[in-house]
Amino acid sequence: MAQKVMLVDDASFMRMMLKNILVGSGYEVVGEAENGAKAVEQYKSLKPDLVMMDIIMPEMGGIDAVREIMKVNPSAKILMCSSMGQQSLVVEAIQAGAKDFIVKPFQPSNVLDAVKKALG
Amino acid sequence: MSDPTKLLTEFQLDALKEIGNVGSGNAATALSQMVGKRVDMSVTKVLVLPIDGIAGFLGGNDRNVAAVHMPVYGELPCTALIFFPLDRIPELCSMLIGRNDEDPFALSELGRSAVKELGSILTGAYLSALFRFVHLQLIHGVPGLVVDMAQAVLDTVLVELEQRDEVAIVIETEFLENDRALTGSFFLLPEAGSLQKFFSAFTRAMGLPGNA
Repeated sequence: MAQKVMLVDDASFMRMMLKNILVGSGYEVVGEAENGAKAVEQYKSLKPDLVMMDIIMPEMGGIDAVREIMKVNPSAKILMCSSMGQQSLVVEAIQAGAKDFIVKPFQPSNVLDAVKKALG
Repeated sequence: MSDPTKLLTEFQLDALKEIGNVGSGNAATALSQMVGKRVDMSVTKVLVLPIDGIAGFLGGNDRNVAAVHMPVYGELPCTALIFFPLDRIPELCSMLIGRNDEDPFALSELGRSAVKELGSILTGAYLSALFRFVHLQLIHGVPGLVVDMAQAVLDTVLVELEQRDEVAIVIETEFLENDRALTGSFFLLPEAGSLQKFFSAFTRAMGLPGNA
C-alpha cells in the first residue's frame, strides 16, 4: 500500500511541485494545508505517514505546527522544507521534532532521498 | 543622512559587493534549479540608494514591474523587495508551471503563487549570504506580489513600513539564461535605526575599519 504524505505550504505552486515528485514515485498525497493551524487539524483526521512542512506560513508557522503535531503523536514523522536554511532555524525545527530539513529549491532526487530516510 | 553613498567607504562598499556576489550566486543556483535550466550571472552592482531614487533606478516611475515583497524579522528588521521586469513574467511562468498564456496583470492563482515563491526563494538566497558574512539572524515572512508601475508598487510597500530609514540597500544582478538576460533587483528597506546597526555589525564581522 502506498505510504501517505501530507503537504503543508502556503504556496500552491510548491505543493504542486512536491505532489508531482511524490506521486510520480508511488507515494499517496492524502492532504494539503496552506498553514500550520490547518495542518494540525488535518493531521488528526488523516493520520499521514509523513508530513512535509514549510516554515514561513501565515497564521501558524511550520515550527509551531511541528510542536502541536508532536503533542498529538510523539512519533509523527515530519520533514521541513524551507527557503531559509540558516542553522538556528534547522536546529529549532529538529528540536521541535522534525526528522530532517530540505532547503528550497530542491532537486526531486533530494526530496525522495529525504522522504525515504524519514519514513525509514 | 543627506548623501547615502557617503555612509560607507569605498573599501566597505567593496566588501558589501562581495556579499552581493555570493547572494547573487546563491540566487542564480536557486533560479536554475527552479526553471530547470542553466543560469549564469554577470557582474553584481551593490548600491545604497535614497528611497526616492528607487523608481528612477528601476527605469522610471511609470515603468511596469512585478515586485515580490516580504517583511524581514530579526536583527535587521526591514522589508525585502525583489523586482522582475514585467515582460519576463509570462516566460518565467511558462518555465515554472508550464503555462504559456499567463497575463502579468491578471495572473492565475498558480501563476501568482509561482512568482511569489520565486521571490521568496531568491530572497532566502540573499539573506543566507548576509547571514554567512554578517552573522545577523534574518528570517523573512510571508511574501506578497504587486504588479503595477514602479512608484505605485513602492507606495504600496512603503505604506506598511511606518518608520523607516530613508535609504535602501540594493543588489542588482543580471541572470543569464541561454544568452538572454533577466535583471533581478533586490532591495532591503530598513526600519528606522536598522541601517546603522547593520553597518556596525557588517564592519565588525568583516574586520573593517569603522566609518569616519
